[in-house]
Amino acid sequence: MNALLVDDSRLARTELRHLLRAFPDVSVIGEARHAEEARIQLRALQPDVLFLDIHMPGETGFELLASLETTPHVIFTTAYDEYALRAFEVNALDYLLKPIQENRLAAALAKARAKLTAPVPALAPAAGPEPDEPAPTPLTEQDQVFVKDGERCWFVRLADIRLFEINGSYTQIYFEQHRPLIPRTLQHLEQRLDNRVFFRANRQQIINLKWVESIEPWFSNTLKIKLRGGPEVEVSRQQSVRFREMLSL
Amino acid sequence: MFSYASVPAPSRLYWRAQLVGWALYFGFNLVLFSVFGRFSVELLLIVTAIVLPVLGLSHWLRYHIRANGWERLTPLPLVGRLLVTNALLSVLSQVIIWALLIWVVRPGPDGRPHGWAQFLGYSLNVNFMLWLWSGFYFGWHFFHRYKQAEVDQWKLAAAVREAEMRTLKAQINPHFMFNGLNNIRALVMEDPARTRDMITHLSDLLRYSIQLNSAEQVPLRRELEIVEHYLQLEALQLEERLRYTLDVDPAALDVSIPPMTLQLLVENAIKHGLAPRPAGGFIHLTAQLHDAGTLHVTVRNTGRYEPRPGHEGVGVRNARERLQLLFGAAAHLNLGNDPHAPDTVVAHLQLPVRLPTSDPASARALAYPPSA
Repeated sequence: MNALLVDDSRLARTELRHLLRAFPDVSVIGEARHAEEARIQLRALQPDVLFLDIHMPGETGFELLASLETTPHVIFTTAYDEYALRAFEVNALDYLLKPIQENRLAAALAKARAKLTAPVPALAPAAGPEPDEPAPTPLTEQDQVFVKDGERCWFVRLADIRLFEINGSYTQIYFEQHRPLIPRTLQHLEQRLDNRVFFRANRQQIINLKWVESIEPWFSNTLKIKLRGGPEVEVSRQQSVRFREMLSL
Repeated sequence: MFSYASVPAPSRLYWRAQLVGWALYFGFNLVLFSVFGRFSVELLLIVTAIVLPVLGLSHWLRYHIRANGWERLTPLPLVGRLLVTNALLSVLSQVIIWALLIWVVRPGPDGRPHGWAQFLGYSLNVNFMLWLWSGFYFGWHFFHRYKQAEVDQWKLAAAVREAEMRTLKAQINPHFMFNGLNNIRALVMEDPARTRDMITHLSDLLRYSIQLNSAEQVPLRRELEIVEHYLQLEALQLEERLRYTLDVDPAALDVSIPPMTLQLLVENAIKHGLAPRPAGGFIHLTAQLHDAGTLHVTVRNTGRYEPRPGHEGVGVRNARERLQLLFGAAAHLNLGNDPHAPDTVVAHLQLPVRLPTSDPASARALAYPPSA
C-alpha cells in the first residue's frame, strides 16, 4: 500500500512516518507541505492512500480534494476540528486526531486495505490505472470523487452515480437521494469516463448503464430509458442508433 | 424650576385606570344621591360637575408628580408633599364644583350647595379620593420598578456569565495545543533537549491560561514571557515560515496590562497573517512608554486586514471590552493595514500606565515570582 503524506508541519510528517514504520505493508512514497505540492505528487506517484491534514496554508484539504478528478482512499489527520469533520456523511471517511493513537491508525489502515483489495466487478476493466500508460486512463466505476455541496461532503464511487446532467458550467450528479453539483463540464466527463459503463444519452445527460431498469421504444426511432431510482431519460435519435449497436454486440 | 412639558405622555394603562376609577366614583355618587334624594336628569348633571373637575385635578397631579420626580422620593418626604398638595387640591376642587353648580348647572333648591359644613365635608371626601388615587398610582409605580430591578439583575448576571464564557474560550486554542503536542512527540526523536524546553513552554502557557482571571492585570514582563512561549511553540509548527522580533523598552516592563492581550494579537497575526501563506512571514512586536503616561504596543505582521463586516473576531471584541472596563476611554486597540508598507497588518494597543498592583493576592494567584 503506497501512501502520500500531506501536512504543512514537518514534525507532523516525521511523526506519521515514524508511526507507519510499524506497518510493513505500507510504504510512504512521498510528502507534500500544501495542496499545490500534493497535486503534483498525486499525479506523479498515484498513491493508494492519502494522509491529509485539513488546515494547510493556501487551500484546505477539502479544497484539494474537490479539485481532483478522482481521489485515492483518504485518511484525514487533524488536530481538532469536529466541525469540519461533521460535514461528512456517516461512514464516508476515516479521520485520525493528532497526536495519533497507534490502534486508531491500525484500524484506519485495515479499512483502507479492505477497500483496496475489494473484488472488482466483472464488467470493469481488469485493473486500476497502469502507471506507465502515456494517455490518461479512463475513470473506472471503482474510482471515487470528492463532492462538497454547501456544508455536506461525500466520497462517491462512480458506480453509485446513475446520472450526470448538465447544469450551466457544472454537472449535477444523481446518487442515492442526493443531487449535488460538481465543478466539471459534461463534455470533460464524457472524455474521461469509461464509455462501456457511462453512455451519453443526449446533449444534457450521461447515464450509468448499470442503473438501467427498462428501455422503451419512443417516438421517431428514439429510446426512453428508465433508471432505477429515477429519473427517465430520453435518448437522442443519433445516440439511440449507437445504443442499439452496442446492445446488438 | 420644573417643566410639565418634559413629562412623558401617559400610557394606555393609565388612561384605562383613570376612566374606570372615576366612572366607578361617578356611579357610586349617582346611586348615593338617588337613594337619599330622587333620580333626575339634573342629578346626572350635578354628579358630572363633581366628577369631571376631580378627574382633571388628579390628571394635573400626575404631571406634578412626574415633573418633580416624586416617584423617586422616599416614603416620608413623599407623604409630606402629598398631604399639602392633596389638601389644596380638595379645597380647589370644591371651589370649582361650587362655581360650576351655582353658575352653570343651576339646579333646583335641593341640589344647590349650602353651608360651610357641606363645603368642608365634600372637601374631605375629595381628599380621601385623592389619597386613594395616590395609593394606586405609587403602588403601581413601585411594583413596576421592583419588577424592572429584578429583570436588570438577571440581565447583569447573564452578561457576567457570557463574559466569563468568552474568556474561557479565548484562552488556548485547542488546535494550537494538539498540534503542539503532536510536534513535541516527533521532536523527542530528533532533539530531546529542545523537547524538554518545549514541554516547559507549554506548561507555563497552560498554567497562565488556567489561572487567568479576566479582571486581574499582569506586568508586561510576564505577558511577554507567555508570548515568547507561544512563539517558540508555533515555531515548531511553522519552522522557517515564522520569523519574529520582540523589541521592548526596559522601562515598560513593569506596566500592568490585562493578561492574554498581547498573546491574542500575536495569535491573530499567526492565524490570519502567516499561517495561511505557504511562504510564511514576519512578526515584529514593539513596546514603548510615551511621556511616562502611556504604553504603546505595536504588533506588525505579514498579512492583509480584511475583517468580514460585522464579524470582527470574538477575541478582539472581548479584549476591547476588557480594556473598556479597566481603563475606560483612555485605552485603545486598533487594527488595520499599514499605510506605509505593503502586505503588512498593524495592531496598535495604547494603555494608560498604572504602577503594577502591589496586591500580594494577585501576584500569588499567578504564581509569578516578583524578581523573575
